[in-house]
Amino acid sequence: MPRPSSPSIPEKEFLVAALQQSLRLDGRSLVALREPLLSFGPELGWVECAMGKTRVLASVEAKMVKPTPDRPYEGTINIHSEFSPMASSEYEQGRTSDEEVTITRMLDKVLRRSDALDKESLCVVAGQRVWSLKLTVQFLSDAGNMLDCACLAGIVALRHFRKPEVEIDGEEVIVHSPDSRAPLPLAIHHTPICFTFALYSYQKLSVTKSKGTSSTTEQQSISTVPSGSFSTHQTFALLDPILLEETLAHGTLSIALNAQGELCVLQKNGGVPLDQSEILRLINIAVERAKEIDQLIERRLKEDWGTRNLEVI
Amino acid sequence: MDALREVTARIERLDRVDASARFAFGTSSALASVSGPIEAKLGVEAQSKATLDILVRPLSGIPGITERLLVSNLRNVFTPAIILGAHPRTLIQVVIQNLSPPPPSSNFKNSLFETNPSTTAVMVNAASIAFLQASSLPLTGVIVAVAVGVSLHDGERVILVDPEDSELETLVAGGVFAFLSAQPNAADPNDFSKAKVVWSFWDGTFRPAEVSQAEVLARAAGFKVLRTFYSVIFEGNSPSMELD
Repeated sequence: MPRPSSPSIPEKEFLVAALQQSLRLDGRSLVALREPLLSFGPELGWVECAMGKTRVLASVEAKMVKPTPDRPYEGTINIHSEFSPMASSEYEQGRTSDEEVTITRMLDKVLRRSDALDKESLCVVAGQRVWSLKLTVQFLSDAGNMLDCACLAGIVALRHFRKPEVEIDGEEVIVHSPDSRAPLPLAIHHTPICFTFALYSYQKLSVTKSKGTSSTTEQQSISTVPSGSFSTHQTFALLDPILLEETLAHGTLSIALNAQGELCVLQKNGGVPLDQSEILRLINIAVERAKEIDQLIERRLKEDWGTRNLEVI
Repeated sequence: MDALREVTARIERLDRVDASARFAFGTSSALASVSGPIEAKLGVEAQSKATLDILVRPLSGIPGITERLLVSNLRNVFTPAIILGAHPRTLIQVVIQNLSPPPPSSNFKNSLFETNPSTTAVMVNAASIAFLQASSLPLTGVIVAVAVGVSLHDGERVILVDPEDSELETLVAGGVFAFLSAQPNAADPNDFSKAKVVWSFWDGTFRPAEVSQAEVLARAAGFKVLRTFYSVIFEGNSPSMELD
């Protein structure tokens, strides 16, 4: 399907006018997340994450392969994340959209390059056999902020996954099935979580009468054209934007960090000027949220182990 | 031998598609979404009918040959079921996500199937519920699919309905039946006997008499599946498969 038409002017004006009063369309505060719901599948390493109506499914598979000659002591992890028209009819299978590229790159930075997963622990026999993990992320529904949902689903899937126990008998490698020996968790150094802020930037104008509208004369009128110097600008940052907020945003800021407050990735798109105090403020908000989400992850994982019969290490 | 695994179905309500549903026989599960009639791109537009576009996505990795086989099967099942001429120059987009856990590789290597027949069956059923839920396309009937298999028990050939994943390895023949029921009426079992076999596929060596027998068993099972469709659509979700 061709690109959907852009939001209407009344929608845009309503969103902006509400922002002026620190209100969001779904009633959340500017710094509130949609509470993520994590549900685990029948197999280990399979998790579905829902944030509001945005849904992402992540699953982990492992197989033993020969390592690359330049890195004989490390296993590998590959991340597959492709949009399908299930997420929205605007996405076509096979044609990579800009959003898809952004999300793929971020997932790579957050889950692979942040060294969250210890690749050396995936080595079985140096130079001969290593574990190769495949993390597949399926986007089921795009209701805004698929990136955060995908990162969360991905890291939880890695934490949920268990690899079969391997015994090395001289030259032979014996892989034990999960029925005979309890499978082992992956060595995960830290749990990175991503937080995306949609940025809106408006030029501050002096108090004037609004042209032809019925709003009160004292209301500051705002131009809807984003532009340059930030000291004359009012910026709004909305955490975990819904679809409309994401579409109308002038830019985004994505911060990936762990519950210990260590920053993994900071990505800023769109060119919206932010001064350093504002960036620090947003980072602090992300740190707070990361602690909450980390607790949520721990709690859900623990609840899930309770429902499974197999012995879990 | 004619016992189905636990049948679970759920209306999924994904936000950006017209309808979506999940269906499972035991652990063989699929999630289907339907959008249509929607705008078709010029290249795929057909002058006198709607274009049916079916995509199948594996749980792990990117779509490959197995997925193309499943798409081909599903096209053959659904093309007779939808009155495509009613919405010319539009697109009907069906996306099906395979949610069946991958079988341990040993199970599958020795089996004679390229794809697990249950996978096709659950995909057809999930898409069928989604079409009913969408209510945006005229259908010629409701489609219901059931997998069957023939196994050897003490030298005798026994027909199984909805074989378990663990039984696949031992099957000597098997396949899927898809029924099109034009006058679905869950209250009267006799009505399902009028359902036509709109599509079926068989693998392995089989005797013609077995196929007729298997069809009878599959039909009885198909009726139970149809009743699950109704309970999901008219009465709300079946109790299993709730997201926390």
